[in-house]
Amino acid sequence: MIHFEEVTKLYGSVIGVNDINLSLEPGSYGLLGPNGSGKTTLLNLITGQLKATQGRVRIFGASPLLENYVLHRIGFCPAVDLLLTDVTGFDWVRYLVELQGFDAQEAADRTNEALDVVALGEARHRPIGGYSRGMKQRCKLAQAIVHDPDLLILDEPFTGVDPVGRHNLSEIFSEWVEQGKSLLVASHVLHELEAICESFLLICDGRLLASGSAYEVHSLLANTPNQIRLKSNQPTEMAQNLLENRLVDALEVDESAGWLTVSTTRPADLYQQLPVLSKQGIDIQEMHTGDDSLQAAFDSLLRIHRGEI
Amino acid sequence: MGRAKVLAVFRNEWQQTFTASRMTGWLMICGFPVGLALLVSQFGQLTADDTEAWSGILFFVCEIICLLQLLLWATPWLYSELEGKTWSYLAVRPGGKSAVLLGKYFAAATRTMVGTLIALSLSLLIAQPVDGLKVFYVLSFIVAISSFSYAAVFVFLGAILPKRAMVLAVGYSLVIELLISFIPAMINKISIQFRLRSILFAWMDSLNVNGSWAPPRGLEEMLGNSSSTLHIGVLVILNIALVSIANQLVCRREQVFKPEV
Repeated sequence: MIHFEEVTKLYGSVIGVNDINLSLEPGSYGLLGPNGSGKTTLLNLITGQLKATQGRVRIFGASPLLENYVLHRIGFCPAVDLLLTDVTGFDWVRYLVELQGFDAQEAADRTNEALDVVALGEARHRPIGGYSRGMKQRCKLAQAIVHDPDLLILDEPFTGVDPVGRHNLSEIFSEWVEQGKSLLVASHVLHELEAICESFLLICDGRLLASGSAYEVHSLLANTPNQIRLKSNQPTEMAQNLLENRLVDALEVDESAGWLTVSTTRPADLYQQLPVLSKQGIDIQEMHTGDDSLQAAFDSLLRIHRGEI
Repeated sequence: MGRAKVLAVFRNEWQQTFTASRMTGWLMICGFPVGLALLVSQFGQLTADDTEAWSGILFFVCEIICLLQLLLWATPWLYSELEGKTWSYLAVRPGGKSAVLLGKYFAAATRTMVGTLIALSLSLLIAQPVDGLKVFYVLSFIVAISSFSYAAVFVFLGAILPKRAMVLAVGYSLVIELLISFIPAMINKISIQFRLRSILFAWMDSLNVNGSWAPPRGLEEMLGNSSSTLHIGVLVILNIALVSIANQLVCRREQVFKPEV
């Protein structure tokens, strides 16, 4: 379905995506990565809006840039907010479906159907400017599914949507997948995609770091070393204790400032050891755990990728 | 790409014309020649017998309002979509980029043509020059061909440099169409104004002697010796060439202002 062959995209001297090799069969995929990691660039390459600086992009066996008939099989929902004000949801979606090549009547029928699917039926004749953020997201989704594509591509579809809206969108995406259609969703929040996607692609700094099922991704993230900083009156003794108990993979001691920085793949065991240290007279004055967000995990994966860990 | 898609864009563009702000702008621009005709006929020294003078004034004013309307509607055809962040939705449709280009080109040209023709008709009704119907036919044709020709130029400029298209188009209008076109030398042939002016003089029989085109000495360089057919041919080729190049540019180039990595 999607085939990337040594694809690199440069914006001048800035790297968008870097030497990506990828082959995805029909299915549901989550594209995970921190902000600025190259997700949007990757999606824009798939939809033919960007031209690869190097390498080859094929979607359903065709180049999305040069053989753009293939775009008929793709529905794309970009991350950018809808800034339209005067036009109604119905008119906007109908206009876009007419651009797919449907005649006016069929375009109107499909528009009504798509707006019903995203639960915007009653608001269809209201100007988009009066829509809430969630309604705008659903309207964007309607234009992506209205021509019944084989592959639905969504860029940060949950941004700005309240929990109820997120739940509703998730249900729509799940139904889409249940129909046997393909889905590629970009997000920087893993748990948003877990209920929808079977497989995940992890991207950071323009590089594809890893891919696999939800379980595999969780294992991968769990196995990446966490960085923890501890301030103590006896940092060297504390370091010695943690090393003896094999609780750290790497450490750095700043004796004068009293800081101990450790890297560990067993953070839970390390936390359990802290009261023991305290009983031994090693006071812990401050503790800073590494950011457990995706960014931290991705930083670790990137260091592994570079061979630094 | 399909005619239906171009028609969809064309219809959508026309629908947007009928908003209060756009209608007001349209009326203000198109009201200019009507107001001018009213002033000249009431307070000026022109009479209904001064057909040549009327046709000259109305030709020049109609050209100006064609340029003004197209600056507003044709030039930002791409930038408005990029700025409004709607380009992504259009560009991911098969043949969508070309359909948007052509639909907007035809919409801008026809909207300009309709507005200018209404203004021309009202102006002629006020001025009521002798041979008014002939003036109307000749100027109507010139308005039609100039609407499409200037639209092609501005659409082309809008595709080359979307963000700076307005500056380019204003510069083009001032330098090429209002300055160079009036230089009595070969260089004025690069302007559309030269072709249109030549057609006007030829068809109004202003400078015909014994049925043949004979511009007096001094006006030869301003009007040229070529036939109207050649001038029309040049403008048609120019239209097709500019819109085709713009289409290639927009289909092959990435339309991203800043990296969204």
